[in-house]
Amino acid sequence: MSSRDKVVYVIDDDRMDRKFAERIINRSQMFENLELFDGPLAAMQFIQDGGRPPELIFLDINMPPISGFEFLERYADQIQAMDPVPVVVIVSTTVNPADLERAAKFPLVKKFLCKPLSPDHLAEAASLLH
Amino acid sequence: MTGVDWHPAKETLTLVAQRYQTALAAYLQSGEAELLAEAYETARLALEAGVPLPDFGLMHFAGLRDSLLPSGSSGACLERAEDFFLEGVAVYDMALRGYVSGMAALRKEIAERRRVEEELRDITFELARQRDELDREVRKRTNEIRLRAQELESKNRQLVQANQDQSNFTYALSHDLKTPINTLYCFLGVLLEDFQADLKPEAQELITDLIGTAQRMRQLVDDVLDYSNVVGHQFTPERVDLQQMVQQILKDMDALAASAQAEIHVGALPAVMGSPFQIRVLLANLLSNALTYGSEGPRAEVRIVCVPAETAGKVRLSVSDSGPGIPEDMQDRIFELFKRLHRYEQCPGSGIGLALCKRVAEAHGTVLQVVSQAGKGAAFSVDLDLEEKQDE
Repeated sequence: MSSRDKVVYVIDDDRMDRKFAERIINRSQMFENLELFDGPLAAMQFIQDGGRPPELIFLDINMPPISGFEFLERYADQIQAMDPVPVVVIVSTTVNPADLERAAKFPLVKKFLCKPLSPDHLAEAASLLH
Repeated sequence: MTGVDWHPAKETLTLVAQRYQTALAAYLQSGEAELLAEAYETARLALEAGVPLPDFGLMHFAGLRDSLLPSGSSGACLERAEDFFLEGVAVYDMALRGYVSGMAALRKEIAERRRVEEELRDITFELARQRDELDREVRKRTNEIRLRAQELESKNRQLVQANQDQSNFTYALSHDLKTPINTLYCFLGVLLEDFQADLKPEAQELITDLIGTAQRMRQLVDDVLDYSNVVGHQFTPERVDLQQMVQQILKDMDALAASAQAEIHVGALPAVMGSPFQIRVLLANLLSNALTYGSEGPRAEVRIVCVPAETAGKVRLSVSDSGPGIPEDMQDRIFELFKRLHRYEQCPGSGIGLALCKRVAEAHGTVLQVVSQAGKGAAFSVDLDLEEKQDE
C-alpha cells in the first residue's frame, strides 16, 4: 500500500480518543504522517500556517463548539479546493440514526465508523484512498 | 297583422250567412225536416268562425226579411222560421252550456290546485325547517368532531414530540455514556498489552476483570438503547426473510456458537411481516440466550423452527434449547426488566434481553410464550404474520 506517505488528520475533542487513535494508527504502520487536532478550527489553522493538507480525515461528530457536520458545511469550499480532495471518514460513538442520515448527505464522507478505532477500520479507510 | 286573420273570417261569415239564408228560404218553402240539419250545421260553422250570438240573430233576420217579403206568406211559415232559428241557436246554447260547465270545472280545478299548492308550500316549509334544524345539528356535530380531531392531533403531536425528545435524550445519553466506557475499555487493554512484563499476576488478573466489567457496561448501554428504541419505535410492517436473518445472526454469533458447542438446527423458515430491526433484536436475544444458557451437557441442541400457528395467516416461530430449563415458578419473572436467574459470573447478561423480546412481541400484536420444565430445556415462541403472497 502506498498509504504510508499520505497525510492523515484525526479531529476529535476527546483527549483519550485522540491518544487511542494515535496508538492504533502508529502501530498499524499504515500511515506515517499523522496530525492530531482537538477540533476543526485547530486543523484549519494548521493548514493556514502552511501545514500539509490532509488526504484522509478521521472526523468525530460530537465536538463543541463546532461539530464535525458543521465543519463539513462551513469549510466545504476550502475542503473541495484541496488537491487531492481528502477522504472524510466519520468516527463516532453516536447511535442516532439521524446522524447516519446526515452523514450520508455529504459527498465528502466516504465511511461511517463506530468508535473505538481498530486496525480493521484503518484498512477500510486506506482502501478508500486514491 | 290582424287583417290577415280578419279577412278570411269575414269571407267565411259571408259564405256561412249565404248558406244559412239559402237553407232557411228552402225550409220556409218546403218545411222538410232534413233541412233543419242545415240550420244546425251552419250555426256550428258560424260559431267556429267566431260569430257572436247577436250577429247570428241578425243573420237570421236578414234571411227572414228577404224570404218573408213575397206576398201570400202564412203563419205556418213564421213557425218554420222560428224552428229553423232555434235549431241554429241550439248549437250556441250547447256551446254556452259547455263553456259554463267548463268554467265551473276549471274554477274547481284551480281551487283544488291552489289547495294542493298550499299544502305543498306547507310541506316545503316544514321540510326546510327540518333541513335547517338538521343543518344546525350537523354543523354543531361537525364542529364538535373538528374540535375533538384538533385535540387528538395536538395530543398526538405532543406524544410524537415526547417520543422524539426521549429518543434524542437516549441517543445523547448513550453517546455520553459510551465515550468514557470505551476509553476505559480500550486503555485497560493498552495497559495490559504494553505493561504486561511489569505487572504482577494479581494486577494482570485485576485488569482483566476490569476489562470484563467495562465490556459488560458497554453491552448494557447497547441493550438499554435497543430497549428504548423498541419501546418508542413506530414501524410500518415490512417483509422479513426469517431464513436469511437467522443465518446472518448466527454468522455474527460465530464465537458464541463455537464456544457453546451446541448443535444448531435451523428449519425451513418463511418470510413474515414486521419490523426488521425488532425481529432481528428478538431473534438475536433468543438465540444468544439459547446458546448461553441452553447448551449444557454433551448433546446440547438449539432449534429454530416454524410451524403453522393456531390463527390463519400466522406462523409460530420458536427457538428452543436442551439446557437446564426454567423452573415453573420463575417463568413469570424472566420477562421483567433487569430480572435475572443467574449471577453474572454464572451467566453474563444485562437482564434486558427477554424484557426486550416481550416488547417486540407486543409491538407485533402477539405474546412471547415460554414452555419449559426444569431439566428439559426451554422453548420460546411468538406468532408472526406471514407475508401476504402478491399473486392471489
